[in-house]
Amino acid sequence: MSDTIEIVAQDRDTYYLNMGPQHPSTHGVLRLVLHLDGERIIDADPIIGYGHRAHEKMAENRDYLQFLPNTSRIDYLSGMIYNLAYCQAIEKILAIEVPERAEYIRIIAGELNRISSHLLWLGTYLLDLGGITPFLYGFDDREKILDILDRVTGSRLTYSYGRFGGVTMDVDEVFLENTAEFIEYFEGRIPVFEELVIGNVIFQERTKGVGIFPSELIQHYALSGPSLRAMGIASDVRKDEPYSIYERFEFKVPTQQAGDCFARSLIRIEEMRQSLKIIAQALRDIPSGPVMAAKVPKRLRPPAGEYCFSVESARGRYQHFIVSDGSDVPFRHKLTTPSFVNVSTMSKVMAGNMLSDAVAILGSIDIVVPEIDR
Amino acid sequence: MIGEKLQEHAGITESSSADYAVSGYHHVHKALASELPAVAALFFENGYYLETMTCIDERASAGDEKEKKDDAEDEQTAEDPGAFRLVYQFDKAGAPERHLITTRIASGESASSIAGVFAGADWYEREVFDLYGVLFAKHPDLRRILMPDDYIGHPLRKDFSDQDPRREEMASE
Amino acid sequence: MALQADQINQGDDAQSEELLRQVGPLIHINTLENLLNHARARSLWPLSFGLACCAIEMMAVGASRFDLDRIGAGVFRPSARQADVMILAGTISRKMIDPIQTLWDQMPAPKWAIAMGGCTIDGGPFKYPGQYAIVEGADKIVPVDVYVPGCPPRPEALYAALLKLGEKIKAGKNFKG
Repeated sequence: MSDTIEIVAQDRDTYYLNMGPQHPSTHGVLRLVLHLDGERIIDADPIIGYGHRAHEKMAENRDYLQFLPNTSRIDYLSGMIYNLAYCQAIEKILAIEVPERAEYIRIIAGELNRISSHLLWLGTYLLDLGGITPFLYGFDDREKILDILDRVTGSRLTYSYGRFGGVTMDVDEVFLENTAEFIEYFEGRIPVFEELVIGNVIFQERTKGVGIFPSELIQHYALSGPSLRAMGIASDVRKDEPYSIYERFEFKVPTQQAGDCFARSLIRIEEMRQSLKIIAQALRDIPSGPVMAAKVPKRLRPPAGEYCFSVESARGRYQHFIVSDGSDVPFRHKLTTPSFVNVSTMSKVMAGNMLSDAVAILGSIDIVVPEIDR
Repeated sequence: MIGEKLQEHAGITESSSADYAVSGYHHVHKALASELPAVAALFFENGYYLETMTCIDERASAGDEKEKKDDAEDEQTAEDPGAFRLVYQFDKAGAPERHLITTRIASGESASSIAGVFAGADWYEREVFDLYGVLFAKHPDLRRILMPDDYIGHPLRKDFSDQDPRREEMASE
Repeated sequence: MALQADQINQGDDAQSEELLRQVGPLIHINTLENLLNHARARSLWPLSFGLACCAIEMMAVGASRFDLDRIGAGVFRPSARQADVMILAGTISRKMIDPIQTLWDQMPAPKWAIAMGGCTIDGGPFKYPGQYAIVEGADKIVPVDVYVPGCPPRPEALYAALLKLGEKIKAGKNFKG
């Protein structure tokens, strides 16, 4: 067997339990080797690589435009954000100016994507904890977002909507109306989720005080996203290193103090609210105009050197590190993804918890496995 | 300011500033491979965190048939086979202050692990070992992370060719 | 004689006959078989086995708008021993070959496989000369009954695939594609 681990059982009271790679609660092909003493976890060793698709090698074998379809598939739940992040990274390097209307469209599409990612998280997290209803409610609302984006982009999940210099197609009045209707509708739905999920005593019992991240983890692991904000640190790439036109928007960065699963859940619900606020402002201010830059070079040749670019995805900080040698094919393209960071903390966070808490913790950090493995 | 402390540090051989608006980072420093744990400790004490870490395969002998020469390779003479370049990115919370630390690891040389300083470096170093074959001395648990444990070869090297015996079966025409 | 996965794929009639002989009941009653096939087609229990992006569309098919439960296929089983159909949803990496073979072996006959998405048909968007990490096609590991193209396929496409699989099961040996 290619991936068995040599285990010499020295004491007969503990045992190893394999969770995954096929498991309903691992959200993909993640394997956790749990060292258990009865039902208490002594150690959790995440084994990744079951979803490795060689994105970084593919980046070295094709030019910058040909890599665009890969970007959505790295984290398919924030596919629009990832797709636009790549476009924005290249635009920053080559100093391509994106027209105003395209920027606003990108903000709307990106934030809608963020809400749909959080809705899916909500549904699947509750499914792991044993509640099926939020899954159905969440997916129904998510379908509304997907309809809006599908009408413009043609895709439901893996978008290639962004192009260097703007977006592929302009949005029409129907899109803007549908989005406005959705905001109104969804603002009334969030309290439903809060009552159904956050106010549910079973959910609270299973998530309060569970999976508390020790504060040392912040500096050791470079946490970002809801995991970091649940520990009281108001850090968000959209505020710390604003990209696109995020400086023009007013929104709060929600924080909690407890650092447990419940805190992370509260933050994601609040983030959905804040995204609605951003979309409403974008709809109010969107100008008319072109959606594609006038002059985009046909062959993209970034000057030789190294470039970093980060965005805030639904899971945390997503960063591109591009090394260019002056040609139209990158020399190295490293993707730093938030789920990689979050899963690497699992051995420290899960130790000492019960087996059923392992499921609660894994769901609360909201991982997408192809993002870990790339 | 950490900039001055770095410039005084024995492990740093060269420092320069970068244009944040274009490159996305503020400073880049060249470091000696053996001094990396000490440099990392300096960042840790000053409240920085390790944002990411990666490796770039710049071995000239391993380059493929691409004719173009970039600036870095111009400096390499015929005797210099090039090296792996490790890049570490350190940043601070709040307003970013990104420092890139780069160091060269020649083929056959080992790097020093900084997992003792930053626990999060553990997985990054395992990934570099898995995909490039660079060994890290004093790493707590250096094993493959993405490829199967019994895999032969290091896929992200420029001269990598797939030696998997199942390759023919698993590839379609 | 135990058959390996690659032998099943060869499409050799003698091999298929051997397989049927091993797994079929001792006595075939035609009307009973037809009845059983009609029942099986309308109550396919999928294995919850999402690999990558297509898994999300598979979840969407199970959710309320598309509702797989209408055709009896909404009961996703986490254990392979309780599942009828393995929907391979997503790119198959080389590291995943052994787990998939284990899961396929764990599924009791009669069992079927649906290859969902471009990656499981021939590697999809990840296929390129020099790809070292994936298996270019699910039929290199398990015998696939229905292929669903798309990246990812729309939920309606997966729905149609399950209906098609139902037709295939009902038709038994008379299925003509």
